[in-house]
Parts: sequence; C-alpha cells; structure tokens
Amino acid sequence: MDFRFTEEQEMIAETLESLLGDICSTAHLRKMVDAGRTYEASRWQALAELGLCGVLVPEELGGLGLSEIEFVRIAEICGAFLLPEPLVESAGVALPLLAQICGTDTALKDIVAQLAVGEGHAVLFHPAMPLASHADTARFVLRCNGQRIDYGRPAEMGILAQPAADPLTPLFSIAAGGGCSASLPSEQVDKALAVAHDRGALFAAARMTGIAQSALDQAMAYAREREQFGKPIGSYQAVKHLLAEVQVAIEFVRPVLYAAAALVARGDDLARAHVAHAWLRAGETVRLATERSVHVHGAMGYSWEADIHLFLKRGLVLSRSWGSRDQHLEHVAMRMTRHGALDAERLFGNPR
Amino acid sequence: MDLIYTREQEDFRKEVRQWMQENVPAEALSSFDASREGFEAHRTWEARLNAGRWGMVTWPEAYGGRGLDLIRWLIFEEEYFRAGAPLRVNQNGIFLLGPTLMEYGSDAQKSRFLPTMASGEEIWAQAWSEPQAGSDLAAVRSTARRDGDDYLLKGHKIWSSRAVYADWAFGLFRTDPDEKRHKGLSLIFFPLDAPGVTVQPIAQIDGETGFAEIMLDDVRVPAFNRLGEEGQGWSICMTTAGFERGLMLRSPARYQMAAARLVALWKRLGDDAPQSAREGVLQAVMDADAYALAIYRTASKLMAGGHIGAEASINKIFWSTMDMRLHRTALDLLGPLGALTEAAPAAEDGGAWLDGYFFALSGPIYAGSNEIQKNIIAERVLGLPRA
Repeated sequence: MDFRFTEEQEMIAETLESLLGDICSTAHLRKMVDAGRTYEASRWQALAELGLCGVLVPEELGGLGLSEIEFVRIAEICGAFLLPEPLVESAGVALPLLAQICGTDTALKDIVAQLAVGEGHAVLFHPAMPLASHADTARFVLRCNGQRIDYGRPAEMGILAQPAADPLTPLFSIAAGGGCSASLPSEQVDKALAVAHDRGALFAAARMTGIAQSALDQAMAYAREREQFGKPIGSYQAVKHLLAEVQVAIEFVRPVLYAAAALVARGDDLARAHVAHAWLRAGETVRLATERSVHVHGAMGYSWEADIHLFLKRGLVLSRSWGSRDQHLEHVAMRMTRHGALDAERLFGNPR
Repeated sequence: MDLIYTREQEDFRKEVRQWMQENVPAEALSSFDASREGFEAHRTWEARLNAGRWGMVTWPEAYGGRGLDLIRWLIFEEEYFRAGAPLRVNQNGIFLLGPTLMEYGSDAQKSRFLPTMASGEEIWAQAWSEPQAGSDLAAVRSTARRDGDDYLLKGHKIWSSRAVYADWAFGLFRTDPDEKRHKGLSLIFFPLDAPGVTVQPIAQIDGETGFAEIMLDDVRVPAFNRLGEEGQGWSICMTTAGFERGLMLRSPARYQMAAARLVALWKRLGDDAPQSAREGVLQAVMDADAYALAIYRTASKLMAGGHIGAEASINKIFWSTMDMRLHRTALDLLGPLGALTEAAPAAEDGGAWLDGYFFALSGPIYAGSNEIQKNIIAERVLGLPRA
C-alpha cells in the first residue's frame, strides 16, 4: 500500500508539464482563438515524440503499454494547460478501445500502431459522450451503434459541427448510420465499451481537476497584484476565504481521482463507483474554481481579454461530458446497496 | 502507486479484529464528559487496550506501542471503529501531546510521560485558550515565572477539553514577559490537582461538562515539565495543532463508520425516508471515502519522510464540514424523530444522531476555527499577502 506515484510516473508528468509550459502557453492559445484554429500539428508531433499518443496501447501493438495510473496524471496536466489537441480523447479513450477490439485484424492492428505513434488521432462517439471533439480532423472515427462498433473516416460517418462555448474544443455530432462495422461478439463489445466509459469519465475528471487548479492559480496571481483601498485584494479575508475553499475542494478530488485510476487499471468492479465519485467531485470543483476565479477577477473577469474565460469554458464543456450527474450518482449508490461495499477494508476495491 | 494491502497488512487487520471481538465491552460505556463514573470506565478500557499493547500502535515498544507505521494505524482505527469500541478518553494525550513529545521531548520526558499516557494512568487535558485568546492564540497572558528549578504558573485558561476529570494538562505560557505575541511562549505541563489549580466545569451545548475553566494561582511545577526550549512554545504548539487538525484526532474510520450507519438508517427507513435526503446520504458516503483516501495519501507521504504542514488546515475544514453535512442529513431523514433525545422511547439509534449533530456543530470551532484555517491556507498554501 503506497499512495505515492513512482519516480517514473512523476517523471512522465514533469516532462509533459515542462513541455506544455514551453509550447502551450495561454498566449499561444489566444493566438489560435484569434486565428480560429483548434489544432497545432507541431504540438501534436511533440507529444507523439514523447510516446504519449500510445500510452495505453500494449507494447506489442506499438504503444507504451502503461496504465490509467500514468494517464490520469497526463490528463490532469493536459487539463491544466488547456491543451486543445485531442490527446486525452484519442490516447486515453478511443485508441485503447480500438486496441482492445482489433483482435487479429491486421489492417486494424496497423492503424492502431500508426495512431499509437501519433500519425493522426481517433475519436469515439459513445452513448455517454454523443458529442466528440476534433472529429473532423480524425484519422479514425468510432461510433457505438447498439451492440456494434462502427468505424470509418469522418467524411463517411456523417459528422456535423456543433460549436460549443469553448472556442478551442470543436465538437461534432454524428449520424446514426453509415460507415463500416467491426465484427466482434457483442459481449466483448459491451465490456470494451464499459471500460471506455470508465476511462472517458475518469480522464474528464482528471482534466477538470487540472483546470480547477489552473483557474485558482490565475485568481491567486490576480489577487496578489490587483490593489484596492491601497492593498492587494488578496489580503482581504473575503477574497482569501473564497480561494482557500477552492484549494480544499481540489485537494479532496485528487486522492479520489488517483484511487479511481488505480482501480480501473486493476479492473476492479468497484472502479466504476470511484470513477463516478471522481467525476462528480471534479465537476463540482471545476465549477467552483472557475466561477470564483471569474468573480475574483472582478469586471476584468467578465472581459474577453482576461484568460480566465477559457478555463471556465473548457470546464463547462468537460463537466457535461461522459455521463450525467444522475447516472454517476447511481454508480455511487452501488456502494450503498451492495453488501459489504462500504466496509473500510474495501475502500481500495475487493479483497484479493 | 500501489493501492493493495499487503498480506502482512491483511494479517494485522485480522489480528486487530479478533482482539476487538474478544475485548470490546458489549454495553456502550456512559459518556466520559458526563460523570466521574463514565470517565473512570473509559480509563479502565484504556488499561485493557494497553494490556493488549493496542494503546497507541505507532509508538515505539519502549513506550507501550508496537512501532507500527501509519498505514497500520489506519487499519487499526478502521477495526477499532468497526468494533464499536469506546471513544478515546485520552485523545488529547495520545493523539496530540504524545506525537509532539515524541518529536520535542527529552528521553527522560518521554520515559516519564508516554507509558502512563498509553496506559491511561494519566489522562490529559488541553490548556491553550484564554478568555482573551481564542482564535488569536498568540494573545495568551498566562505566565510561567522561573523560580530556581521550578516555574510558577499564573493565569486563566478556558475551554479546556477533558479538564474536569483529567489528571494533567499541557498549556501555553508566557515565559518571557518582555517578548510579545508568538515569542517568549513555552509549552508546560501541570497536574490538575496541584496546589493553586482550580477547575471550574463548563456545561456544553448538550449539557455535559466536556470542558472547563482552569485558574492557576502560583502553581509550582519543575522546569522538567517544559517541552522543548524556553520560548519555543509557539512552534511546538503548531506541531500539536497539526496532529489535531490534520491527522490523528479525526481518523477517517470515524466518518466511514458514521456514513455506513447513515446508509443503514436510510435503508431501515425505506419508503419513509424523504426522497430529498437520498443525495445527502450519497454525499456522506463520498465524503467519507474522499477523506479516507486523502489520509491514506498523506500517510504514504509522511512514511516517506514528509511532514504535515498547512495541509492539516485543509483536512480540518474538510472533516468538520463533512461531519456537519452528514448529521444534518441524518436529522432530515428522521423528520420529527430527529429532534428526540436519548430519553425518548421513539428515538432512533438511542438519540445518537442528535448527539452527533450537536457534537458536529463544534467541529468548525475547535482545533482552530475554520476561518483561521482558511487564513492559514490562503497565506501559506496560496501565498496571498497577510492583512
């Protein structure tokens, strides 16, 4: 029992943090917004060079063969930097699903190997996520269709742009039919889609957590600088307490998030309840953090000029992705109704 | 990250569980704050725990412990609460002063005070606050005047938990009258039956005398009773506060058990439970989980050599808020029955939810009010300027 990330896991996180610090500044994001762009090929390439496009793909299929424990930190950092490119959507959700269901189909295996090294990205349309971002530029689109999984190129799948609040998240809907279909026994598809759902919700929660911390950091920086009545506004208790409460909320998302990742990685059947908890807590926290950060910025917070609206909007998009509040509450309720699930000794999943 | 109990940890859990099954009194003890009898019954329980070497499992064997790590302490606590064992009457000693003594005490002090603390032979009260020094603790006025090898304590302490029946108290005293505020303070122990000590019980919101005023009139104690250096009292005090706010005083098992009992109540009420309270029950389960996970994470860090800092304040806000929420939900579930005391035949769970609610109300106040904790977080974690 050790709740710390290993040195390797910390190193992956630090490497990504420093890379995005260099090439994913808010100044750069604003330039993209002004130019109406949502994807930067050079940044995708840099992420690919770190192997990040295939983190969850098994090594024999050309990926890094790592687990959700590594990826949860990656997703959190992507959230913190508002990475526009669909790394989490592709490497965190769509691609591992494809790797799971490609079976012995060599053409599909080739595609997995190419996507794992960053030659394009994949997106998944799932009942819990009917709007997918960056579907137009995807190399590969996956669509849940009842018991089947359809796949194909964006053009043949009938996607339609659905502009959302966040100017850097281009969302698309998809038509119900068209495209070709993977031939998999339905039971296996069900299972694969359930895991994809857990990953989707888990990594959305991770991104929201990262956004919450960044939004708080922005508010802190502003509160230290901005003076009223001759003093920084951050010296007033009314402002201090607003922000301290946000930090408290964030500190209690992280352990839930990381434990949920460990349970998903282990395939524990209590994983879903922890993922749901992480999703709910992260959703509330990102809302608290971004709303308060806008507020602490005062009138400046309501302007297009301040960066904080980008964090608010990304949080808004993500907090309604991968399930509804009611659905996730039902997953948590499983811990209430299942015998023994509330025993302290089962906090980390079922006994071996 | 490895979130699986080792075989040894699982075996340890079984060992605790078995001992608790064989030893926890079948009948709940009466409150240690309501009568000398209840207090002494808890002392007897402490002696029994100590005989099984369960008094404080993290302490070194020489002081009555087992030298175990914090993960095992968490497992112990989980089994302790699962068994419904009595609350710890010596919590000020074992959870707060004990770990502080371990860090700052001399070998002689540790040998003198820790074993009797672990066994419950000496039960401790806290003597920090004064009438003019509550949230502003650095405003304490009580003095300790050096007189040869002794100190003479003089002043007025208040809101001292357990002081009515306890044997000893640890308090913050001004040893240097020329220094102001946080400087010139020392942490000193005194027996509550020493000449010159007057203890005046204060009835709490529930009618029990869980705290007291202490008047000190030239109370003579040896300088041996000073913990750490003269003038180091404030920083030692903050170490103690760290244990109080952040880790030991409120172990996660307490809330996991409370959440499980709340779920049991909700199930028992069935269709009689108001629909609107269901989400509160779910929230209680999630809060208890989140707190437990956070403390396991903190424990992992501390075991790797970290120290508990301002995160203690973060934890304190969380557990106190969670406890309030949980008990409000319980009273909402119970409807009119929620207002019934233990004396009412129709009270659910012997009126425990109302008791729990009253106790939860004190959470945002004691161990440093939540507003003070928010100031600490804002200034030390977020780096916002002081007022």
